[in-house]
Amino acid sequence: MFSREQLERYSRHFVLREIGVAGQKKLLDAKVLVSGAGALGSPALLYLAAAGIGCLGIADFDTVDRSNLQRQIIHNQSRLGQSKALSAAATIHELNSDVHTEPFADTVTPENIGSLIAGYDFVVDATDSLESKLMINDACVLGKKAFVHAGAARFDGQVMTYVPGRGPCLRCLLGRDIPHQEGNQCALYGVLGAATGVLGSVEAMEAVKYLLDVGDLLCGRVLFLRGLEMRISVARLERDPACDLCGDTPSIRTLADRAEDYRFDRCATAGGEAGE
Amino acid sequence: MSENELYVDLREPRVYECGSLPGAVNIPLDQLGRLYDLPHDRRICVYCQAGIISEDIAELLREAGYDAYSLEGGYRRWLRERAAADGFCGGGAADGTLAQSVIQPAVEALISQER
Repeated sequence: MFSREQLERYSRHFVLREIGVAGQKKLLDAKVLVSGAGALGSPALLYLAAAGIGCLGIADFDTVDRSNLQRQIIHNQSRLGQSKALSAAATIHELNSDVHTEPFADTVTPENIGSLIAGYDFVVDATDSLESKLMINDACVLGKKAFVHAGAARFDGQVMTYVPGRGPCLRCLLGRDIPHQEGNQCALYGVLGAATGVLGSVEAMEAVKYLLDVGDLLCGRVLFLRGLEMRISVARLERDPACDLCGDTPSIRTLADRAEDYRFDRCATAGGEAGE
Repeated sequence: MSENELYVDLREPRVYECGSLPGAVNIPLDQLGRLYDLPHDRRICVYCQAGIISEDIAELLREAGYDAYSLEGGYRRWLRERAAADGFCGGGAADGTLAQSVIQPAVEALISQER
């Protein structure tokens, strides 16, 4: 049964036909892993915690830096130097004590990601490098785990959702010749905090919709944000039958097959790489 | 309605004040915490406008140990059945002044809630 505090806290959910009592129970029973407690992870974690996702995994090896505070709003000035995973967990506990957090302050690697994601119902890619995004994509496709991808740079970004067997993966979007880029793209190109807020929030919405099985996911679709023109568009994307990972004859069968893809320090926005 | 039953009106206070079931207490949906103030020794009948959200709330109450159920069709259906019983024809003249004074403001509130 719900406590009195939960009746008050989730009252705006009980009224929604898509959620209701049964839906709120589903959310409280759910386990979501958010990989990255940074710019995308901050809004995603905050809104998932607020919604009452019962268990939130938080994977981030890094510590809070002053340059993070321009956009990583789950942290604050008193957390400088602290583990981001633990800082995020602390903020979540102050927001909603219903939420159990599982901070993972170590580096996510091809060796540990498989067992890490296995324990969750849904994964949120909130990382800041193309190598991490490819690793999450590959691990989730191979592990048959639904996840949402997002990437952001400057005022722009994109979001797409992967559901096993139902639509394209990130490799279908990026194509087979994924450009190598040296250096940290976010530091080079810059990014507006509010843009990451929009995209991370969309990721949280997709996670909630997936857990409740309501609405239409960005599965087979990609949402593009062009923040300066303030244009949001959604484009259809088909699964690529020639995709190395989810295509008809995949060449990637384990994370060891493309370990080199996970090693470069790059930021991913589908538009930014083309230099639009 | 038996002596032991207690009606709970889940609608907004403004709508509740225009008309509600006899003796109903108003617990609007943004004050659901008050549900646990309800007495456990009464049979709780929850209702809303159409009888949809009230089903969820009744289930919630049952899980908290209440003898609770949802009014099928909500206030809308109850009002329609009351209006028919009192002879109000919804377009023509009402039969009795009493019926009209009870039902008309409630109908207006209901119509204003209708999308």
